Amino acid sequence: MCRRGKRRLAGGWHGFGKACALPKSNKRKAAQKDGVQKMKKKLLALFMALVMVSGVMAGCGSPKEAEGEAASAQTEGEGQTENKQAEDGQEADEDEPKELTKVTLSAQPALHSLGIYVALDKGWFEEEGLDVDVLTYIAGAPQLEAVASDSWSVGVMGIAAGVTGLVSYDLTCLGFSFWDYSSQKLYVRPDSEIALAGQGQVEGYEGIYGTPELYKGKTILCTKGSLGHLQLLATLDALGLKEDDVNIVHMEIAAAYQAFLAGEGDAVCLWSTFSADGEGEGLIPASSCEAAKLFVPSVILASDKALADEETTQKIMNVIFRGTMWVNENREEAAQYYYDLCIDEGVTCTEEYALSYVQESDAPTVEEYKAMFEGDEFSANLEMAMKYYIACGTYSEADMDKVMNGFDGTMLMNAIEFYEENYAE
Amino acid sequence: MEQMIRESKKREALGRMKKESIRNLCLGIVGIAGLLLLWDMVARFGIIPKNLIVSPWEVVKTLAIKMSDTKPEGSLLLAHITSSLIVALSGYALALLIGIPLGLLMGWYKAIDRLIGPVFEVLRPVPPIAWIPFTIIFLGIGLEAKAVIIFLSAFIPCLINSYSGIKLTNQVYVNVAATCGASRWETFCRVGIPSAMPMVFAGMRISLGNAWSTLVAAEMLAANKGLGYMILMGRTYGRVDLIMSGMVMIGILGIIFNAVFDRVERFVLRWRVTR
Repeated sequence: MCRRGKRRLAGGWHGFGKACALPKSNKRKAAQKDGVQKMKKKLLALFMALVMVSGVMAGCGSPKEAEGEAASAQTEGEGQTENKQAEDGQEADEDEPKELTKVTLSAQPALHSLGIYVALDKGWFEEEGLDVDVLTYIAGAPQLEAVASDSWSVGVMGIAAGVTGLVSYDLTCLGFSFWDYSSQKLYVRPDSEIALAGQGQVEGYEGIYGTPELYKGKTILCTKGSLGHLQLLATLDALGLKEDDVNIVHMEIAAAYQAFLAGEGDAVCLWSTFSADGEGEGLIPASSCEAAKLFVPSVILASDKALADEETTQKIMNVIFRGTMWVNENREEAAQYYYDLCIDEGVTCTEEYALSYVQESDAPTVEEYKAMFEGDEFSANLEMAMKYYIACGTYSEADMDKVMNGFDGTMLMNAIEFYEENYAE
Repeated sequence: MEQMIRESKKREALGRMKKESIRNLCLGIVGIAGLLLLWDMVARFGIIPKNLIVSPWEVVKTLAIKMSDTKPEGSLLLAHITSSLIVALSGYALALLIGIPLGLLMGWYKAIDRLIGPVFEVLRPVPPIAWIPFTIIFLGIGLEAKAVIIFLSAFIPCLINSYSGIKLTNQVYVNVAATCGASRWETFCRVGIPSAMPMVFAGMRISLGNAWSTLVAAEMLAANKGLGYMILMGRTYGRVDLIMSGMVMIGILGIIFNAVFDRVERFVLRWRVTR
């Protein structure tokens, strides 16, 4: 394209020069004019070439960067693997490169996905013979749209997106990484009648502010289909209200927070760093997952393609579980990882918030994990989340069957066993 | 005899026009039928996976269900259509009311052009979606804010076309008006505006398309009803049928508006010589 443009410009100018027979006195002026024109055209061609080259470079930037990161992670991982082998007294053959299986995972800049980033940084995937690319999504909806086009095989997300993945994308739930309820809250202004009414007025739900009457007809800004929405549904249920009793306005979390601070709406559903910001602004958490007794886990979902390669997926689960347990046992260091992840992904965060969030978040111990999957605690949690969705008409009873049948904890149990055999102290 | 010849020529011309309009209608129907057939085949034979596309019949089924079922996003189809029409038409009306007079005045009076032109040139490249944070702060999350987002996308073609239209006024007509003693304002009203009307209508048509295409962005701001909201919820819940139903509905409403617009244009500009 570039060459064709250049030839056309040059030909046009040359033709003009040949065709015109100018008087001698005007020839110098014409030559100067031609020179200027020629220079202009050259500059234009150079500018266009630069634009095209920069466009091509920009287009190719991301994959190259990703490759670079993957390569550096791989090198680092291999180094660590070799160290470990040396420590164990095994002889590693350096001439024989280890063949890695390429896999793509998906995650979010959230605590439930942190184990993946830690494992990537520490080279634990390479130890298992995996060459991993991690696609980071800021929300569940685009993450699920990507799996439809086979962009990733195993992903970690919140339960709201997880349920959609099980119902609409025929994914399989392999387990969960962290509890996912600590920062999900419904905020009101300090001078609102709900806040002024105080806590302890709803029987059985002492943490919720206000009475059911005070919530009726209120405008609540909320990202529908998110865990914040689920928490709102649980709160309304605790108050004995239905979704129609309040006016829920769908907004993205950042816009909702901005609008609420600008005086719009009576309440807002916030999570993650927005919760911390909200409390910093003096907003009152009128309800939370804990207050509404909604204890939901994040979920690990796998595509059919991932399930077909059982061995690789098991290895992924082994590493994710190892990463999760590391986060659980090294909260301070994990907080730094979380902070770095937020900054890398453009999520507003402070080191103080990262520390308090990571330290306050709940994750089961190995024994608790085992107990959850040996009994029916995990499926009971999924069922509870689905009941709220069914009550408000988002999903049907038939979808409940899909969710309950879409869970297979075998690989997570194997991962727990593997962890106990190899890494547990 | 002469009259008979004239009448027969008129009849012939009318017959030709009728034939041509029937042929055009047939071609349009064949085009749409072809698209539907292709779409159905792509969905039916799994050329694109089922969780990425649904067949046209499933879209029709979803639209029929949505007439009486509020699930999963919480409103009936009619409520979505009404809400979107209010938002889109408010923004569009605002764009016509401000864009057309401003464009005409800028094109006719140099002082206004020099005063407003640079401001317009600065604001013109800013995409409507970039205004969302400011509209939240200054106008909240209600109809006004959404209408302003639509207005920002529909306003620009209105202004540019009105401006260009009046600039292209034949100078001979202006001179004739001046010779007959018309004031500058009278010439603007009686010569400039009528001569700009074909371009103004072209701008209005482009604006209408822009208003509809910005609907999803406007309803991203905040909504609990609307076709854009329906599409967003379909995306959140992984319901491709809901997404495609919203898209089809926007398309159908666009066709209806275009047809109505054609009639209005033909009536208002009936003096125009058409080929």
